[in-house]
Amino acid sequence: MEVTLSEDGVLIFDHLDPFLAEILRQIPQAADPEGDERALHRLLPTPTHADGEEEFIDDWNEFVRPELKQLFGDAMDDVVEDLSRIEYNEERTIARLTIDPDHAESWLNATNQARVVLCERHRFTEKELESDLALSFESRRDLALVQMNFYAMIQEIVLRWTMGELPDDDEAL
Amino acid sequence: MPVELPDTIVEQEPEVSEEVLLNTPWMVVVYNDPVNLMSYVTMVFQKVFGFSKEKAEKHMMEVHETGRSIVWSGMRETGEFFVERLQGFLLLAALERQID
Repeated sequence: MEVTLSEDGVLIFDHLDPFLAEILRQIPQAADPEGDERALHRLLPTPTHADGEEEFIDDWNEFVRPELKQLFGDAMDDVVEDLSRIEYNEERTIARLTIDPDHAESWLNATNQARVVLCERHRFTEKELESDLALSFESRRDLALVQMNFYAMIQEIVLRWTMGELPDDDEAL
Repeated sequence: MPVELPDTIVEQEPEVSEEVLLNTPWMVVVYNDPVNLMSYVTMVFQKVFGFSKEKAEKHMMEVHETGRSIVWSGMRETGEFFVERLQGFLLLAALERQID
């Protein structure tokens, strides 16, 4: 995989293995908390643990939660749009993804949504998340760990991009 | 002269005025979670609170090492706004009453 920044500020992931492209395409599904209360609660946690704040929590659930859901949904829409534009070479052995600068924050948000939900669904421990990437796929859980690590790598790159820390002379990272 | 005691002693709770309640300081606490990257948390603190990189990193390390960090304190309404912003970035943030 080659990461470059074009002259007009577009982030390009080139020579992307189709397997990694497919993992990227899985971001929306990975971020869907449906059917998992823990994941849903982690995405939209309580606003306070203070006693006697039931009314505040009710108001929060009624007014703020929908706003947060909208925010997460909008970010995911941007990412889905970029994912739909992934290009392949004729043999479909290499893929290329481009991200416009105005979608950078959406990528940070959407990959984080996916990581949060995957972590809750598969009950990953901090130790597991910090361990070296295990490239054995004996279970769906192993694959989820690979997903989490790959999304973290994408997040780091996008983060460096937003902080202006990526080389801007088309130099591959 | 003997003092006449009432049959029952009713313990009265100290009255707290609405003004005192409104002025009780609140704090925004960010809790540790294994998912958010350290660099991401630092960026969010800079973006939401306008912290310098050093200050943002100090709070991020406090979250990482002690499990939580108080990132802001003051009036409740502003605190609610910050909690919403932080949760929008998927950070585990909550509004808590400041204990003296």
